[in-house]
Amino acid sequence: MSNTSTRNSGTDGSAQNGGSKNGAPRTGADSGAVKELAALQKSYSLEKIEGWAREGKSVIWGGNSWEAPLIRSCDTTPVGFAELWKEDSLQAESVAENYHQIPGEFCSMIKAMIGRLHLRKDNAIKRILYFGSTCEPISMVLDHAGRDGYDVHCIDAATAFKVGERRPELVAFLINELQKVALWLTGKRVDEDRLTEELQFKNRMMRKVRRILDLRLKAPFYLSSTPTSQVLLGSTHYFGEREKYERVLDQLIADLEVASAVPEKRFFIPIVLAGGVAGGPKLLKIIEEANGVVLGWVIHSTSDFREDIPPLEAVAHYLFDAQLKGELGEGAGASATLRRRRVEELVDKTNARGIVSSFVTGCPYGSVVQGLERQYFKKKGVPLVGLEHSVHAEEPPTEEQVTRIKAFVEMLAE
Amino acid sequence: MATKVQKTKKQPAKLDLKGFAKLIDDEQQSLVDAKDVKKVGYICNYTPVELLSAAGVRHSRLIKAGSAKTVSAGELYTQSVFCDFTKSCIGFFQQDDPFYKSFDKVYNFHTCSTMKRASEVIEQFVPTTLLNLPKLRSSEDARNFFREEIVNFKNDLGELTGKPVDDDEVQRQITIYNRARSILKEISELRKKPNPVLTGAEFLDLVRGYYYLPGEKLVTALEQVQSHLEDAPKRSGRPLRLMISGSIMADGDRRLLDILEGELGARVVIEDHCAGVRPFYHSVSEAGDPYRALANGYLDQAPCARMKPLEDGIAFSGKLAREYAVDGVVYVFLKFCACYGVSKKEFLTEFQKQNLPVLELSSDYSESDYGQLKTRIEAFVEVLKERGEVTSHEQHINA
Repeated sequence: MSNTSTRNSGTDGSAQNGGSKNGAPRTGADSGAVKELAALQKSYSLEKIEGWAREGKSVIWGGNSWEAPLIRSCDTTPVGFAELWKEDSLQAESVAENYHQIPGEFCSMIKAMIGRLHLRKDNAIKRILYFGSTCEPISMVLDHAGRDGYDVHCIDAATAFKVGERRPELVAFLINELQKVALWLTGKRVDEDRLTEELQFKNRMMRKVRRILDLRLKAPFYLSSTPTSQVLLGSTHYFGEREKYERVLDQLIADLEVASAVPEKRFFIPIVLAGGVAGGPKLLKIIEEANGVVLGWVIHSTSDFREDIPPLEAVAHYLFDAQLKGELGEGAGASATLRRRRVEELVDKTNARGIVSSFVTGCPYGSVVQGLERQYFKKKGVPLVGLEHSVHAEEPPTEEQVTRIKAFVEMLAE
Repeated sequence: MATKVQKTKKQPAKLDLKGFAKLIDDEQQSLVDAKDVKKVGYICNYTPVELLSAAGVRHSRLIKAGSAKTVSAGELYTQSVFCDFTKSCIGFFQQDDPFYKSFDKVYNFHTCSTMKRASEVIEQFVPTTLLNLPKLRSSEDARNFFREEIVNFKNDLGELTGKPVDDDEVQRQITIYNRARSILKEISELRKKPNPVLTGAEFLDLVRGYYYLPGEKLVTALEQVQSHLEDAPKRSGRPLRLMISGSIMADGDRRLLDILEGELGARVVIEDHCAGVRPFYHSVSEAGDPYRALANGYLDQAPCARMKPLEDGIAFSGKLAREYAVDGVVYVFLKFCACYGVSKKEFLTEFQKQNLPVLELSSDYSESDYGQLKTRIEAFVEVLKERGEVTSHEQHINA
């Protein structure tokens, strides 16, 4: 593995907000595609989603990760739990601690989740889906949701712990569990043709997302970290408007192809971000203010579903492969020890000078992954900074977070 | 408070379990010293011990509570957000503890996610195999899948020892462990009498045998203890009867019992946790396919809160409280234990429905909060005595 990186130190400061010699935009701030992406993100609100449910459409909480194509093939919109802490998360956390008596030491994510579900229990979305291999805090808070009147369905736990271990049995068990999800949602077994279409669409989107991420390596300033994270987040739900999402991706690729034709001379520090940014874009902005650019993202899977096997098998293999790559986080039961392979791969690919390893305070998975990766990359000579955060978008970054990130990126610049 | 709790020690007449404890000590040392046999550690009660015995390996549950230093060693990997039991498991390996270090392999059926993570860390010290444990305990599909995992476990043990596990031997071990579970349950039920012949601490000392002794030796030793207990003269009076419910009370984690029984004279008559009676409220069918029987038997055991539906675990806890006619419940969860921390409201609600006073404690293995803990427990015991709760459940005794 190489830990050397290109030190970009151009003098072309004027280009930061202007056009290049060939007329292509060097930053996407004025790009129509970036604006449309931001508008899509803004439009994807809880109120809008609940509106779909009020109109009689099938909408569920959860099921928005590896299982999302299956849920959509059941004419159902899966809504990520992350929507629950986008707003009013402090109030929701307080409800969890006081009403549900969740002890204070547990993470803000699960408390915001259950608190907000409680506050919205009379709303139109009444069903919840979760995966049994997720962490116990999530699994346990959803028991409280059941007592609030939600119809909670569990895909029973199935985990691939080691490469090559017992895959056929796991796949067979999970396929059966996925059939039960379809029965729960529609009363019928999985429509495999519909599922195949969903997987093909998803794969097409992922090819475009990967292309965007690759082009960013050459044009790191065109698409900043916040819209890039929106591209990644949107790849699970398409903001509820798949045609628009695809159009935005196409336009971003076109813009980036132009922007990347001009060699980037400005100074920046390539970074790999391992973990999520549950509290919103504030931490990404701090990295950028310190001249860091997140070029490698290790939380969202950018892998494809297999198209050479029956679609339910493809979903099962996708999950088990993701677990073994440490992708998709604790919600998918991902390995704590194997995530580093993906981190390492991205450090090499992006020429990253350092890793920002982020997790929600109180998350056992995040803490142990970070501990293991810290040891591993220390031996490899790749600097890593640990960053804890809450899910509260309402709270500004703490002084400690700002100082840690800035000091780390400055250290990498030396 | 009108009446002060008597501060002097009120030790009930001691049952002499020194011989039993020595058996365990000798067995542990013998496991460490053994050279010609594979040694296996396992973490969770959902691990079918029958297969370990049938495979001919020396085995033990990794159930020890660590000192503050051991916990701290575990924190090198987990930071602070894991329960102290998990951190102890890792910490003993990190500290090169001779007992933990002696294992050739560790198995963990995936119970809570924290223990799963701990197993991934433990793999840095010793070969470790994780196996799936379904959550939906009543589902037929889950039972079929669990059976397959149990067969995988058997095959893995065969590879470890270089000798396939014999089905007849599995069957024989099922019979032996059914007997052990049955005796432990019967011994526990002696505590339904108004003034039990053994304390909660003594019962947990017997339970240790289940995790450290080989099946046959365990049964022989338990039969002797049972016979002694059954012949013991009936005691008069009725101490304050308490139940402990919640997270694991690991081997060595005796602070609560020391205070409750040793210092305040109360009696813990039943323990609803996974180092208490839970594993002994099930048996494994001795007919038919032994792997199917193990899958069903282990999924039918009194469930960990991790298993679904949670209501099954709560109902079991409530049932024990009634059967053992307790005057109050000490609900204790280890800090960061999601299974019992996040679900505590539901357990407490069940006890409150039975009009049982509950003391809720968040616990760890530190020494520093002993005084605070004692003050809270003292106040609870005092309130129970003042309320006259001591007699309100007597009609259930021996029901």
